[in-house]
Amino acid sequence: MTMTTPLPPSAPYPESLAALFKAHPDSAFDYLEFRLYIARTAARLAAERGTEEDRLQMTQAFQALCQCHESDTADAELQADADFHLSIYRACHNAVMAFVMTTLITMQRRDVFYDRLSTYQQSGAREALMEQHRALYLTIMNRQGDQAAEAAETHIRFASRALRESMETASRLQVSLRRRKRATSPDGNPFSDDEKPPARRRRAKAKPV
Amino acid sequence: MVHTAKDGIRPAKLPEAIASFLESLILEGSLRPGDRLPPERELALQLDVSRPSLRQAIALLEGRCLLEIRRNGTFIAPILDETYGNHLYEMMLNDPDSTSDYLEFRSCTDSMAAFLAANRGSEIDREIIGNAFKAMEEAHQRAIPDEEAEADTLFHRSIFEASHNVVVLQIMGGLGGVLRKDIHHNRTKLYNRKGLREILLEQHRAIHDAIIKQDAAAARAAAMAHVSFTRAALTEIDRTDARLEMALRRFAESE
Repeated sequence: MTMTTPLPPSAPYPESLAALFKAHPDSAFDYLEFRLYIARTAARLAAERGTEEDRLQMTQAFQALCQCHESDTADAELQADADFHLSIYRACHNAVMAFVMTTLITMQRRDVFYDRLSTYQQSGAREALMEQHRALYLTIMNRQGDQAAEAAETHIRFASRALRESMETASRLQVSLRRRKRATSPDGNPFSDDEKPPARRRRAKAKPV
Repeated sequence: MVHTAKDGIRPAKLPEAIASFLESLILEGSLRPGDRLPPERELALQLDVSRPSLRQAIALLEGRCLLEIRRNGTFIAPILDETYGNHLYEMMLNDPDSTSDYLEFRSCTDSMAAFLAANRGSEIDREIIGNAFKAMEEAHQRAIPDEEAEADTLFHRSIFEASHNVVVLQIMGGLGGVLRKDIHHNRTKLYNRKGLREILLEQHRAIHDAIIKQDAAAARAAAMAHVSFTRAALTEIDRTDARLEMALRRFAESE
């Protein structure tokens, strides 16, 4: 199955806005909050308006996602994940919403907002996300608008929580690593040989005579 | 960002720090596209930095397409660049339902923003929204459709700002910039209709009151009702206009 490209080749990408978001990491949570509201509407509209062709596209995207999930290739799964959400936005029959969300999902694919892989690698996250995608897919296919909106909300709320946790985990890990260095280094110092404080390194370089 | 010993403790370079500060102001909406930066000497004093550092920061931001240097000053660039804007514009031009799609999307974003503004807006945000509404009332009394349409745009912008969500602010601000003429045209169309002006003012008042009272559910409902009404009214006007045109054509043919 071929993966759909995020934007048609001719479609431009707002580089400066993407750079602005990337340079200010708090915008990740605003992005997910924005998605929360839009995804609810999108899921409902896709359930109500999706044509046979849209339903075929969503089914193919969902099947591709399942395959990636089973073959345990996180990278491919992330791409398939984005493709699946795009297929839902396309099924809404709202050109403006599809255009804007394609742009935002393309930003997300390029890790403008956060490193998606580390969120995916939170323990249990991949399984939970897969179940959420399945619920979203099934409610849309059953044309259950309200349930689809709920499924979309549950999914995005989970993603926000996973992002917060993965950020916290990463910063705790740094603390643990420093403590371990202190415990294992002979002089009980958290700066190991290869990680001297930079000030000292600079000073050493500054006086060659 | 996680700091490790390996990263070293290096202060950010001053031009980069200035650039980052100005970026934050753009992101949060304190500087809007089209705003002119104060002259270099003045801005350097206000930020308490040297002019060469400021000049470098401005060059950095120009390189990121966030600033435009023109003969008469340095301006905040449109948030969605021209290529992107044109692409969207073309797409909408070729799609007869695009105004309706835009408003359907707005009913989603505006109800979100009104809800968040009621929940999170500070005292100052409420003051700004209050002033924007007063400006609408004044424009209403003067009954100049053009002015009323402009006040309408600013009122909605103040709610996007008060939502304290930079993504909804930048995306909707960006779209508003691209579709500026169309939106203004449509608003003027609405404000030219007898009876509609009063209804629209009352709808804006309902949004305003709910946000001021910090009643998030009411704010969301009022925003939703307003955009849905606008969408229905514009569809109706377009239909009537089309009928009128057809009648005029028939009349011309029968002459």
